[in-house]
Amino acid sequence: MTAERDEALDTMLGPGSQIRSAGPMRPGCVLVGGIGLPWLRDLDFGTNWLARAADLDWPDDVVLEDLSYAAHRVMHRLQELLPVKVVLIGCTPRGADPAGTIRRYDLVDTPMPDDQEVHDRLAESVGGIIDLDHTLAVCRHWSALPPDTTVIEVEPAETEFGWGFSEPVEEAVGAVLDMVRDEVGR
Amino acid sequence: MCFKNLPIQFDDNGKASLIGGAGDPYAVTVAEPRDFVREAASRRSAGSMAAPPRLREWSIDPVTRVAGALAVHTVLDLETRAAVEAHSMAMLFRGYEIILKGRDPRDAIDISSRACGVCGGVHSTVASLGIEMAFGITPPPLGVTVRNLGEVAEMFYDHPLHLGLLAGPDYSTAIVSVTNPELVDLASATPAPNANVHGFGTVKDIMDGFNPLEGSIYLEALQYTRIARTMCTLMYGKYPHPSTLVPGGVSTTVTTSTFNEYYANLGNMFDYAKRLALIWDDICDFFLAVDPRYSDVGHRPSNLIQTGIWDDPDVYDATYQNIDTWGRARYSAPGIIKDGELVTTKITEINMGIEEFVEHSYYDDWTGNGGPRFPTDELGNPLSPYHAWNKETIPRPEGKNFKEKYSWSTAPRWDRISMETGVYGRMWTTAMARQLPENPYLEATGDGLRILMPAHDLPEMELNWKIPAKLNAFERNRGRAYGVAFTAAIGMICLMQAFEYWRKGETKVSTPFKVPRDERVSVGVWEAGRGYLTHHMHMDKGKLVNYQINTPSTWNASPRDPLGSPGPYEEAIVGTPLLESVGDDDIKGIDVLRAIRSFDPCMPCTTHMDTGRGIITREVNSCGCTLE
Repeated sequence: MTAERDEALDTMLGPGSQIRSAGPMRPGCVLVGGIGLPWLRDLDFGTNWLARAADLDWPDDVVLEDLSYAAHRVMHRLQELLPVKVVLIGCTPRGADPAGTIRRYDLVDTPMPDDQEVHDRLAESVGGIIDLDHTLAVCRHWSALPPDTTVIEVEPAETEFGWGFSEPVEEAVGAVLDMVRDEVGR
Repeated sequence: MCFKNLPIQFDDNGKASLIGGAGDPYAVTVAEPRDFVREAASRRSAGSMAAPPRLREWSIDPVTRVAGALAVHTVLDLETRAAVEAHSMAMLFRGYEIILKGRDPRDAIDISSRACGVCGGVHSTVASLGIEMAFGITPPPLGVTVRNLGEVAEMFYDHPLHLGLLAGPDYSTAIVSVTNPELVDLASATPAPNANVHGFGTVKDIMDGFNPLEGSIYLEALQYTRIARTMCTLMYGKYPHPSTLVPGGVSTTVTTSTFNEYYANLGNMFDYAKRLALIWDDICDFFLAVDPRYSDVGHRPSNLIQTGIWDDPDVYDATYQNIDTWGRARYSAPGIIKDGELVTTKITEINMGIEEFVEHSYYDDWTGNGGPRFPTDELGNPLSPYHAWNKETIPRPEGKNFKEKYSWSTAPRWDRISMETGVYGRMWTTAMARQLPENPYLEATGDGLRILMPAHDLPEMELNWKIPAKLNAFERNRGRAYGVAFTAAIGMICLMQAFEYWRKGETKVSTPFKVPRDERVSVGVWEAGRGYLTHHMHMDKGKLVNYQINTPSTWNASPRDPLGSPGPYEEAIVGTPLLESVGDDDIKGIDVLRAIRSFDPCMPCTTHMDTGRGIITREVNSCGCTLE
């Protein structure tokens, strides 16, 4: 993947952009969804990684879609798409790992948030907050994510307003691609 | 004569001018911020040996189930069981006004939209309105109608979301069983008067419906956000940040199918509106009947400011010269309600009376640098140095205490009075103005609104919303619930217009324009779900010189002003009784929270800028901030 930013493509992208279109309904697809916070450097990883991946060859059943919008909206979108597998890509500061660390996990062994947490996260989401954990909590609560869901997230280094990834996150781009290829090829 | 405090007079022809006299007519004598605790203490101790009150400080930071970052500091008197002090704090700096300086005015449509992740479309729309006034262009009728229909859909997103997911849980079995278990018992024995419409047999069933995550009212609201969004995207292309709103109309490709699909969704809203209004009637009436002191929860004087929405396509011409004419023709009337009475529906008078103060906000005063840039509007109406056209945004997060500065919200005032705004406010002004054109769905009766909801699955139904005798948390929510029907009625009127324009072949939705290079001053006047919304704009050489955004929550969440008077949240909290039937240590403050949430607070929730002197405690981002 090229490390150059395609600014024209960036300009076209926005929440809900179908980078590799599914159309309104495509039951049975494999959805690779990016969640990013535009113009906040590494925090925009999900969206920009997806933009770079758009020019690559993907199996026919793979849909690439920007999911950088509120959790309940993502839930509604998943309920339309009905994917059999979902790969979510984001960049979330957890603070426990060095910058650029890639965490890849499925949801089977990840505890479900309790009801109060889901309610609180949904209440923030309807106010417009975009957050990978909100999306996971809300979509899991209402079983909008298929059992075969994998999250691939990177630990950020730079989260200030601006363009482009930090060096450690830039270096993670290729490895994330390998992981996604592995996931969608299964 | 609508002004009592500003130095403005009107001649026999209604022409406004400044009242002459020595000195600065708009001078402000700064007073100590009003201290309710001290006032209460002195009342209590006057001539008596009464023990000092049992006061407990209670800070809610953040207030949950509101949009964005709001903190409230209160003092509770456990002796009298009431809130006796309140400070409302907007915790985040947005900086959109600074970001917009020097840009192409058209950028305001996309950039200001990101101020809100709930209803960004209203910012795009109001920016478009302001720009078309500056550019001197008028949209074609169908362009205005499409904008109206988009706004209708936005309200359908906002109101159910608030009633079902944000405010509703405050009245749920899950909450009430903790704060007032006796009420749950009583509710289970109380038949719901409107069960035949909404289907909940008892008031307890309604309370169950409000239970988070599982209650049917909660879940239905979540589902209706989806329907509303579908309707928005039909008119706007995408939502919450439309890309099709442009000066002079919209760039959406609309066909008869677009309107037919919109109509199919609107039909669902008719039934939802019927049920929602009567659900909230039953829950509000139950609480108010059980204990009349609930009418004091969130009570404040009936002072409201509304800017009006939904233009009549045949009257709207986007000019400031005719702003009062097209403003009055709006289906939801602009207006000022002072002590419950409508004192004006003229947008020029609303505009003339606006000032924004920063005495207790994290900004510097801008008025010390010579006289105001615009002492009058283009019609010669006087403007304060504190008016939006004269305002500059100068962040200064210093002096962080309640005597000095404590909020990122400014303190807007009209005629130096603290005004609130909301769905119920626009229904109030519309009801009292009685300026609605004849139509089959909506009638202003002077003391309320008669709303005819057409048949869908439920039969045709007439809903009657009455102006409340006392403005409080319950009436705000009740009004918002009826607001869905009010909006649906206007949606139907606009949809019929759209079909009619289409039938006549008037299918144009936008007007070509050129960006002028000379100096222009304009204002976009519209409303968000929560009410009042203005964008004041000054451009020159094709760039923005100044851009000032004033949102509903800037009014509602405002801190004290230089005269020491509290903002609406603060006013509504002070005096709110604590009606929980639990011991002091178990008080949850639910009635204070009901008071706050009844305003549907929306603290626009993005901060991508910091002056370097503030502290960011948590960074949050609203939908799709694709700012360049």
